[in-house]
Amino acid sequence: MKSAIFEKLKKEAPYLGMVLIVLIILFKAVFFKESFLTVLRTAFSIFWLWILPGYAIMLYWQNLSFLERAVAGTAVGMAVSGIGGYYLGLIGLNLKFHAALLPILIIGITLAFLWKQPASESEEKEPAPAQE
Amino acid sequence: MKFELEKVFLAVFVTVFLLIGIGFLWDNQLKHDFPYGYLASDSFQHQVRAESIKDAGNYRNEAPYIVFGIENVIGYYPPVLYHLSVLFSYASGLPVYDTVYFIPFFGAMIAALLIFFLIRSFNRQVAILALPFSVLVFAGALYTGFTWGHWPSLTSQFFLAAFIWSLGRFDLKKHWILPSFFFSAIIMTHTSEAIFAGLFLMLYLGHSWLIKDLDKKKLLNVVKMALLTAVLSSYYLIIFRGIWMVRQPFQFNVVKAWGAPLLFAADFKALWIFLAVGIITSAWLIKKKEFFVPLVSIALLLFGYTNYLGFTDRAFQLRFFWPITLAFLFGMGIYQLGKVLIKSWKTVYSVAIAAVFLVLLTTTSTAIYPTYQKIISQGLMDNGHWEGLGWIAKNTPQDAKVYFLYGDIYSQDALLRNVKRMHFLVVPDDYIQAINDREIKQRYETEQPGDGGGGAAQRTALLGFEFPTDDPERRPLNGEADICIFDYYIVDKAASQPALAQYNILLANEMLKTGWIKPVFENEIMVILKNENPGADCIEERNF
Repeated sequence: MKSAIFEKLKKEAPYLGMVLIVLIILFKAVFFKESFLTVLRTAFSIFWLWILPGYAIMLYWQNLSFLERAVAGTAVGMAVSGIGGYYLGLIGLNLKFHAALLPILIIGITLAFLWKQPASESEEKEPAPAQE
Repeated sequence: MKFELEKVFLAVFVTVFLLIGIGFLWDNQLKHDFPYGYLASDSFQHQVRAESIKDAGNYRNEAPYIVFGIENVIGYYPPVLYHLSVLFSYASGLPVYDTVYFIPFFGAMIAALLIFFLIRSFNRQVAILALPFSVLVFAGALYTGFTWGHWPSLTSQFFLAAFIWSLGRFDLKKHWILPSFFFSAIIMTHTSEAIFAGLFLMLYLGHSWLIKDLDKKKLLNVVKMALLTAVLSSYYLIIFRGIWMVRQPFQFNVVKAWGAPLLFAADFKALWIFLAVGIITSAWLIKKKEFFVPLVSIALLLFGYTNYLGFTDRAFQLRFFWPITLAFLFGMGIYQLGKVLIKSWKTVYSVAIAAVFLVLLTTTSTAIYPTYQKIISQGLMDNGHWEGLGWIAKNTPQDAKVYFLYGDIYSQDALLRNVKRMHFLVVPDDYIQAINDREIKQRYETEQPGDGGGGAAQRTALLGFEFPTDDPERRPLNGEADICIFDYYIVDKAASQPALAQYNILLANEMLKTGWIKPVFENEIMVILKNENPGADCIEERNF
């Protein structure tokens, strides 16, 4: 039996890719004097450090549009990695390893937790705005 | 692919927001050769702390050069902003002085979007119309929140916006985990905003009670949220309780000004037409669940005036985000006024009107309403100073003592910490007096700058702290000092008042006459002298 989360990830992976592409274009537009490589690396860093881990955490809350989850997920990703980085540093894991390990840790724990989530809990429709 | 006007407008908004906020300020570059666009000492305070955490690999302790050379001072500042900037620096390859500055702008942009989604849950058209108001975070006095270094407060307010979004979008009946994450992040980024988050939570519960939506489940979830928040932030809260609440306890004090530009609600001027209509037309919703969204704006507007209730400059800081948190009232005002003329409202109208306001608020300059004010400045730092400060950090022993002669930028003394050594600074008034008296002296009024807010606290037990700077023997130097006892001297070769720079050079030449004080670094801005015999008389006192 395939996990509902796996299905969701498969469906939304192209959207995530699009978020990264939009981020790169947006950053190149704002920082147009910067080299493309620096823009690319900066945009990818934001995507890797905050958007992806936050997106993974927000998979638990499916009753929002992808875009809202991606934006809120970025805030969640920043909150969790900021707090997590502080404590991991205190217990002895040097910060230089965090940029690689922390997102993997957050995504791994979240997906392990959500993997067995039944489809009924994870597939809800986006609520309509109160008024148009 | 379906064309969605709303999403296109969102992309345009985000681009404009970042372009006018940080793009122009940073000369449209991400990576700079030195801290760029830093306009005040506080900016350097945060930059240096973030650098020191990156150097140490953790934030167990403050770097001694931040706290008057005292060792084993516990890391006492809320840590989240610094950790985010260090992680971002490692991942992106950008210097920490760029990443720590970038994060408040990025956070403000995410906050504006979260408030947009919150308003959208109320009314999509109002959300679109509200969005342009957010760019006013870069208008006049508010922009100084970014450029003068109120970064922890701004980043904490971003988490406050996320906390409010999570309450509004989920309702505590359903979920309590996300608000816990955000509440913890608020506490651990700039703790004072947690008081406002707590006040808002009480208003939210009060309103839930008013609309008969406050049940046992919601209250239980508030308790769960508080518990998880306490667990996540407990280590730092102990530090906060033992240091900040002891050194800077709450005192009821009405404050009407602070040492920075200040925004008052009246400064929105003509835009109050929309804000007022927004408030009035929202009032009738008070007994409905949808009032949550207007409540955010009204509450944050009022919280911004708690400087009259003892919240001092913390209330002023909250105003930095007013354009984001009050945006609903602006959008609601336009929408309600527009509805008088247009009965059948379409998204295209909202986007068109919002686009017009985006242009008006970012490209015009008028006294009728506030607008974005462009800042193009490399700031206080320059390549020459940065190179010299960095030379000290890389090429001198850890216990070296560095003495700064007069420099135009050194009054913003947090930037001196970039030498990463214990440092001292001549007091300009005494220096000027010596020039007026045509005197060359060996003893000058000297100060030892550093971060004294937390009293350089050292931990004595889990809950116990002592404050070394309270000990008269260990207080930072502040008085007349023999300048020959230092290991290195920073001598600026130019100053806005040429006489000060000439006096610097005169003193340097006097020291060079000894033979044991030698130049070890020089560029177009400064000379660094090394004293190989600290303590020996190095200046023959005389008149010139």
